[in-house]
Amino acid sequence: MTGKIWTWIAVAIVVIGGGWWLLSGSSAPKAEAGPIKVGFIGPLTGDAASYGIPFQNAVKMATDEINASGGINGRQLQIIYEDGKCGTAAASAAQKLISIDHVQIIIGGFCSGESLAAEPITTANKVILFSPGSSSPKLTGISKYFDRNYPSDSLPAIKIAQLMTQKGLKNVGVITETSDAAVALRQAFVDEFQKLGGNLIADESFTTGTTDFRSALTKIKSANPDAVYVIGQTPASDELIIKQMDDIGLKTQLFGGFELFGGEKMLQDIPNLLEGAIYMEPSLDETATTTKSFIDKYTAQYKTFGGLPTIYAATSYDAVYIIKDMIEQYGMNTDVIAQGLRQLKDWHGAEGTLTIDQNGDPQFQYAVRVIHNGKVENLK
Amino acid sequence: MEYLIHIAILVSIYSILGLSLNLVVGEAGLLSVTHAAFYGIGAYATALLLTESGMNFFLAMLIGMVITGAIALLIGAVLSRFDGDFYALGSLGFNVIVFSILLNWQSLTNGPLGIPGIARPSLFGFSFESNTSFLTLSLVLLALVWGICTLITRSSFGRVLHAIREDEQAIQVFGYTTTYYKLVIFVLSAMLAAVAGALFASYITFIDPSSFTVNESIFMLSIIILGGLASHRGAVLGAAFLIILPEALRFAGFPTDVAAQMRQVTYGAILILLMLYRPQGLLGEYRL
Amino acid sequence: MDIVSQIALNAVIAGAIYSLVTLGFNLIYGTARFFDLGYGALAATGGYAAFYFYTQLGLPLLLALALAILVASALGLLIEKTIYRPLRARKASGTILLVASLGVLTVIQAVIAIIFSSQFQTLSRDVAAEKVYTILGGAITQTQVLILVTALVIMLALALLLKYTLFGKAVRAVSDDDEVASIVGINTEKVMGAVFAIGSAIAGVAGVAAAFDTGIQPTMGLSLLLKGVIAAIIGGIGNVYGGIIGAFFLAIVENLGAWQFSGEWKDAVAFAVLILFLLFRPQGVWPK
Repeated sequence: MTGKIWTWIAVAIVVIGGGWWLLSGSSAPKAEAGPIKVGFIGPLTGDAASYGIPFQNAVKMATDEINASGGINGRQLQIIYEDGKCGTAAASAAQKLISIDHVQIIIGGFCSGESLAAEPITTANKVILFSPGSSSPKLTGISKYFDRNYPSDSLPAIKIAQLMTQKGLKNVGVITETSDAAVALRQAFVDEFQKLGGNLIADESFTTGTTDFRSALTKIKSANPDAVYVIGQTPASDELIIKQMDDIGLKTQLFGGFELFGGEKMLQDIPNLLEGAIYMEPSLDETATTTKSFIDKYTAQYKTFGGLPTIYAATSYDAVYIIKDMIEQYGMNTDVIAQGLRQLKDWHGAEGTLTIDQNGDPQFQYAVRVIHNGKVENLK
Repeated sequence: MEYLIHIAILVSIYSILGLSLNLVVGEAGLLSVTHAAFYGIGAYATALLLTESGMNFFLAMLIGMVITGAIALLIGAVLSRFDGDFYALGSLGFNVIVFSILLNWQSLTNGPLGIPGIARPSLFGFSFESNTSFLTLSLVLLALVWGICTLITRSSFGRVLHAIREDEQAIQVFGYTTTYYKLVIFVLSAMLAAVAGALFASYITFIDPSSFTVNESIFMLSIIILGGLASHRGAVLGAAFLIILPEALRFAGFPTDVAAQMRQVTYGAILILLMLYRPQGLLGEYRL
Repeated sequence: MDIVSQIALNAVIAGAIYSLVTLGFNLIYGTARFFDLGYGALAATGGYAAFYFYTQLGLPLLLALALAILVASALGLLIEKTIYRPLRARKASGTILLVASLGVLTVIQAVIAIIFSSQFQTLSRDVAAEKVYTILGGAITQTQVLILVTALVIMLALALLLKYTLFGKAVRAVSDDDEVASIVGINTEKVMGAVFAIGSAIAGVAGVAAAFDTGIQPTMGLSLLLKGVIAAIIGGIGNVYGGIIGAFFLAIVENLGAWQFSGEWKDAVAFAVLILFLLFRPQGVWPK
């Protein structure tokens, strides 16, 4: 019996305490002075944390820099970090940021699933959702309050298909991770490649978290492809696939689905296996001044990009500066900022020069890269 | 306030899941680790019907319940032959299989891309767009599910379930075909989970397979273990606790890069401490 | 002929790692009689400890591996003493122990993620220097051969230990019936502790093997564990030799499945095999 009484006391404490905490947050007046609060939604735990942590680091770095040089219009920038868990948890995160923290701008989601889940809530509340990493084609023009500085997936896949055809590689094998961006990429590639007359002679898929690809790769090997298009969504998947290809003796022209081939961990671990591998990435000129200084500062502070190519951290870093510029130019009215984002033209940052089109998608130039001697070069 | 309403909706949905899972785990004593599969099938069925054919939400939910029940019949027919640890393991296996189908049968479910743009329910012209109205809907459905569960547990059918839980062989001696009872309660439990699935799909307006993994089933199990097995109030309490806890921990001020992992540590520690010091859960009568 | 030999070799490689997982798991289940989910986390601990000692501290390879296995073993023993033993003293059911072990798994995984970050890490030796052997047209690397040899050696050592030593006899006595064993004068607590220490050490070896073969991530424990459990059931739960057969059987079926169907169904296939065995031969291929 006493156990039950204690239980109800515990319940009362949790409910009252929790409610008081939550309600005290929601009655705070909107400050005109004091820090500017901006929300952040990214995959801080789970399989996609390898993306979320560099994303968070880049945002932190940008925020610290901005605050050190006087903040935005004299006010400090405060980022409130929430875990989107690469999926529908982003909806809760968005709800919390909007109702409790009263943010009017959110940088995120990173995974497309996060953006898709958070968007209905941010749109309903007229909150800007700006994503530096979501690449699903379904996000194009989804809401006037949603923009991104990371491009939609279909373009690089189409270009790779065209490149393969140009090079006379007719019989190709594909291995795809069953995750949102990878599947979208594969679909865009297959449609274009077959339209151009190519043959998909091997088509394998694997679930996220798989570590043993050998039998799938053996099937691809036995089909004797001219090239293999590797579409893993995490650096771990790509690296394991290429290593195991080598283990079973599958030697072929490699194409990379995302920009992961250029990640420093891959280049460090398996440079010889990547010799001659080709991939496309939004062209990031790493020697351009803004880009180079970003890379130097990031590596000085965090040592590594976590196995990801610099573009992901660059867009994250830039997202903060873009928001800063928008606020300085247009104030905090989100309708005006939404319009301002769509008119963004030739904005200069770590990712290079950025223009956002009328659908909220960035216009990107793509560079075709090839790996030689463990270094990323442009394909001539 | 919006945030509280959002939390309350999630708690309602998970309470329905807890109540329905309790029918199998608490009342019948079968450790089922596959509830997320039925949650998922209900969600996908509703989502597809809503997005493909613009059907009324309530009709879609009912059809979803029927579909889920049918699949539960097939799975339950196999599972009812197991007991104890093998039941748990077999059910986990079915969860993995259903999840794989949701993920890989892309022509049907859109696979990892998920299904966006699911409509909110509407009834006789009134649309449940606002979160407050959706909360009302969730609470009404929760009350209905609670009523159904109470009916079951208080009936003679429920008494047979308790007998199965306490000593299955003994009651078989009395001539009861226990497999039949285990199957029926499994199907009923699955159909109620489909209600939660329909609510979830329509609330978030976007679903993808990642919400219906084995981890989710384990989470539901934790809800009723925490709240107390075979206790309706326990299911709701457990849901409230386990949904509010991670949200409350957002405020706990852990350094952001470890905050999310610290939540996992807390969650695991709660399970361990519970088992050590109060295995019947907070409000439960029945120990695992 | 090439593709068949390669598929066969792939199965052998996978089977070797699964065997290591199953060996320790079966040892623990056989004596403690519950599904220890924490076992998976101990494998992850072994892998990460090896990573830490070898890559971060730069210790010589064999020393790093020995330390890693020691760490896994010590951690397993600690958990047994602080969590499982008190639970057993209260006559906790297998399900309570299972839920507690789930808490252990969650906490350890999260702690690893906090210390080492969630990133994927590799533990291989220089890839270019890797020797590859060709057998009947299929390729296998030197690392993989080493893993296979290690698995066989440990299996033999464990078998000899159990069959011919006094300690082994005590273990078998406790696993048959621990009450009778203690009446006869065997110190069951000491035996249990030793079993956990050895089992956890083997988990550590499995983790190290997986680390060399495919790298490490904090979440690697659960999937390794599930495969180990399936293999254990196929082979006959609690039966050390049977587990090996189960491990290779599972690996063969998985790789055949990947060959004939598509790779993304691999998990579903593994669990379908589990369910079939639970249905038609729950005592496994080689019952105790």
